[in-house]
Amino acid sequence: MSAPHPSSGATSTWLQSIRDRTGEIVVGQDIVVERTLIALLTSGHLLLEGMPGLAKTLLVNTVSKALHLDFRRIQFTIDLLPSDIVGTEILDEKTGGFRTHKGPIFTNLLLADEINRAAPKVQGALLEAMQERKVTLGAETYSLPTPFLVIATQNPIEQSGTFELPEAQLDRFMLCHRLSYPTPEEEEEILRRNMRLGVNKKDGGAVAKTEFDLIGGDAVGTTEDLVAATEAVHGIHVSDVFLKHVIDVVERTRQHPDLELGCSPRAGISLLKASRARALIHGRDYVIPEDLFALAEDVCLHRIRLSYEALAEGKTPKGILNEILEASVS
Amino acid sequence: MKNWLLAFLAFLFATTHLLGETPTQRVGLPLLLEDLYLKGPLLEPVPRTTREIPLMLRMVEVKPAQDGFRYTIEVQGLDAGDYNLGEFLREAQSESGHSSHQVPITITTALPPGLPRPAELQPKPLPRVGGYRALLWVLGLVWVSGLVWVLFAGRKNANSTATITPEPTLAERLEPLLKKASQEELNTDERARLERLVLGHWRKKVPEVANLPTSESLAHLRKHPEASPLLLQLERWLHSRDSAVSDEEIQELLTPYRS
Repeated sequence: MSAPHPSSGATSTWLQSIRDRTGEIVVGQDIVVERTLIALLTSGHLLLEGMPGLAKTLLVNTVSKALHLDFRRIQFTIDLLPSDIVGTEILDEKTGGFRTHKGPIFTNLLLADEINRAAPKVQGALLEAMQERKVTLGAETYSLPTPFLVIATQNPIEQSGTFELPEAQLDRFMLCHRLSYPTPEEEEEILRRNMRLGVNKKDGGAVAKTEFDLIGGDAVGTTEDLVAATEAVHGIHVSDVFLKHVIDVVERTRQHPDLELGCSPRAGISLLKASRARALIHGRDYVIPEDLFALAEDVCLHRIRLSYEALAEGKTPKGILNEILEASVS
Repeated sequence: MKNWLLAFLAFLFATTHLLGETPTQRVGLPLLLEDLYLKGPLLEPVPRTTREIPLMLRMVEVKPAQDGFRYTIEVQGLDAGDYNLGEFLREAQSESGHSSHQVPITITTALPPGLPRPAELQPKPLPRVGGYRALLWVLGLVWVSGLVWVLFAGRKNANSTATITPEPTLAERLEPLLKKASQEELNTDERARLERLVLGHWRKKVPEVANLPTSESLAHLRKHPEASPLLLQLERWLHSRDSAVSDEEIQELLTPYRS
């Protein structure tokens, strides 16, 4: 497919084709696809919170294939070392010198599964690389491929044997989306599609096909298309009035009596960037309050912290944020 | 010859026993008398029926012996003095009396003789005024009057302040902004506030949207047949690059909120 036209209309059509391609494989996770594209177009990173079995890996794999991007997955465990992610220098017996072995972080799309299972040292190594987009191995510093997007997942319920990410590190994720279970209609569609998968015969044996076997076909776009779309995001108009709305929401999180920690300036920047990308995806060349309010939960919720008094009263961050958003439009 | 030797040994034991020191212990500390041979039937401690009995006895072990028994007894003295242990023992199964054995023991004390006792309290008549009952009555009256004040006076004050500073309604907050808009004097802050109030107006007006979270309600309003045209025009005016909305259109756009 040819590169999208610089106009936002053509780009949004191209982005819609990626969503459609993903929809052919993954049922009912359109919002997650949208958030993944927003993160990809704004060079942010995405944290997904949800139960196992919600097709997170399948979704990221499908998006990467649709965009012809390199994809790697790391399952975070307690015994993982920083060198398992970023790589290390290995002694080459033939030459007697050190040879650099690049880790799985050298990819375009990295799925860090259950990031809170690894020790803080490992989390720190990944988050540092996410921030700087560079990795130092021995005396050499290597730039990470472009685009580079980390999609991390964590299970919000099972907390035993985990290391919770501190607020400062959570702040590095541009978006944190909470996955929900599919609706009954979507669940039915998942089951029907699964029944049609059939069997894969190979080497004289047979194995039941999975949804991963459906990923394939031509890529919907190339890296050049993605670069053009990223440029198009920067062409989205942001009015002064919209900036005032962003400042109002961020300021309200800092002034709220139930919040010990409000949104950082990085949260405001993320709101602005993500709103521009969402406007492009929805075929507009300017941002509107709907973009801001639709993304506020994913941008702000993981960056705010409740006071002890509010926690004791049984309040939740989501409830407080809804209160703030409602107060800003009343 | 053998009989003479036994008689001599018995005499020697008796004399050493008689001439030996009387077992002595301090008040409250246990005194253990081991293998004390007492002739006659089996003995047991006389039960302590009153607190005045100065010794406490505990039979640790009883072993049968010729014409009697050997006792290991633990004695605890509660008052200093010289006592005969036999007076604190009686024949087993007998209901009264005490044995005729002579087993002297001494309980000593480090305190000077005589027991100091606290002076006995003399009951005094309570004064008629200023007593404990009067104090309770006063405190009770103060508490009740405080409760009455909190229930009635406090509520009255709250009502009066509420009437003094009523919270402005959405329409009241919109009005000055609409006036300024008609004179084209709105700055960026006021435009942003105007837009938020207009969105709030529609959220309250459309019942199916009122209970939705803000993030979802705006998406619904943009599709609502009544709200959608006005909101889309407002968006174009405030957010689009060229803001191609004439003054007449702006006035027309804001007319529904003026009523």
